[in-house]
Amino acid sequence: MPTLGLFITLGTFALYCLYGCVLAYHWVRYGASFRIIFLSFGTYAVSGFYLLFAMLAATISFS
Amino acid sequence: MIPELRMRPGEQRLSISRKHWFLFLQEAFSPLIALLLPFLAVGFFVGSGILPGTLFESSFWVLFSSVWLLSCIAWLSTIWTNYILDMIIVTTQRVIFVQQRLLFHREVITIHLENEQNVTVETEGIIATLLGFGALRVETAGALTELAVFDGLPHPEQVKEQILKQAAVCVKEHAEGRHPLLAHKIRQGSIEA
Repeated sequence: MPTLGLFITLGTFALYCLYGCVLAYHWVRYGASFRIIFLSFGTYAVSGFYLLFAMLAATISFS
Repeated sequence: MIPELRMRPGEQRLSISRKHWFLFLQEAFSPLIALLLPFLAVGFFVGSGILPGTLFESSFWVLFSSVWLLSCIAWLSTIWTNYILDMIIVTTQRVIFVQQRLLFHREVITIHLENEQNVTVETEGIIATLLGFGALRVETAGALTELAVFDGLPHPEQVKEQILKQAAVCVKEHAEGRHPLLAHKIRQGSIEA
């Protein structure tokens, strides 16, 4: 069960990071202002890392 | 730098307008509801005793809800990206419509002000009337008539006035041979005065 949990956690987070890169590419390439990029990327990254740590904690508690 | 914002010689940017915030809220309504749905549903079932109260503390629930929340955040971010990349740019020579339809579907329509024939504003519905946003349509003259539409523009009347005013200046300059692009080419010697 912890292996499955870890697989789900890391898989989800890898996809989330990859999608974040696609979004960041659009923000930078098509010229959103620095303020918009900072706020958008900040919100995306902070919420992602917060949930990753929650998932990791849940995965560890499986064992 | 926005690729569409690279100005030509003698060209100046007059305004950049994005869609009204209400359109973003309208688009974001579905992911926001989806974000809350499992919490409301499970809360209801736990409250009515169908599911055990300890479910919220279980690792399975934390994993499931985190994956669900991350998906909803990614969905919201896509809508936000499509929203902020939609814009209408008015310069002293052109009107540029930039529409980010999907993440990998971008449409840019450029209309030269001397070709502009008709500018229409349409405000439809109670909310659009109260909040003051509407659709702006710019039609070009000539054999290949082109129509560019920008929906949900805040204060479309002001943008319309700005386009009409600048188009009049542009046509006058063109007729007098003082068009900024022509003047630049004359200075460069690529065409004769």
